Amino acid sequence: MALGAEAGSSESPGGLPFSEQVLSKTDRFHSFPSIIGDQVLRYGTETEVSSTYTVYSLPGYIGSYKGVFQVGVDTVRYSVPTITHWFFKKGG
Amino acid sequence: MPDYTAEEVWPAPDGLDVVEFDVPGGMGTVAFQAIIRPSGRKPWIGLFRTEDYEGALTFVETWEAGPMVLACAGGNPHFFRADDPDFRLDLPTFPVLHRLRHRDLVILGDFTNLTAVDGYGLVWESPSLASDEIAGLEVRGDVVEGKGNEASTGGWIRFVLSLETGELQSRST
Repeated sequence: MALGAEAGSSESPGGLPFSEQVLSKTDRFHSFPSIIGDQVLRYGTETEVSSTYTVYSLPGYIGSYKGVFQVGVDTVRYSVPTITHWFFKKGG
Repeated sequence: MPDYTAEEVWPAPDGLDVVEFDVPGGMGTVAFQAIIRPSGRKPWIGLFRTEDYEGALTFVETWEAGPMVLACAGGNPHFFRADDPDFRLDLPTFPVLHRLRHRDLVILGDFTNLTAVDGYGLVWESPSLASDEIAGLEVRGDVVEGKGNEASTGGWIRFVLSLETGELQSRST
């Protein structure tokens, strides 16, 4: 299921909204299902990039491509903490 | 005198060997076929398969010097010897979303990285240049310039790479 179909629903990972930029990217590496994103937020490695931005990463696959699912959360740019990065980074 | 010629062909002429170029983990679909004519050897037909990545590129790059051919099928790069298609190099770029040629150097880009190849093989791989989007690629003198998005700020960071080595020379907002 494309990310856009789930965005804004109660199934959004952690109940967090998506940024417009995240919603605008609908290709395969930018639109893995919310259930995967939920796993990333729950069990992924947490990297505090700055005091206001954290990336969660969990290894996995899309098809035969090995990589890392990444979910980035910004806590200040929007009125509520918001997912501003939603990407499968191939390799690694 | 080039070592070969390569051109898209449809339909393929009868009587030539057909070589399949699959995608990782599956067959994919055929994006196009090309006839490869190695110098002094029998021509053959290449069938280049793709996963049809949204927005990705399809093209063929050839060189006057060197044995390699690059056939990019809907974002899947197939990089092989014209005179021996069993010899193939995996390129790290997928999906191929950017293509920039400067003389014999062909620069390919996906969401985060660049790779450069020529008629002899892989020339360099860049470090990661973006969170998930690269834009504005161009060659200026002896460098490659572009910008990569930065998810932590929502902005863009300009980068400059050595055209010769792919090493990062600078990054700036």
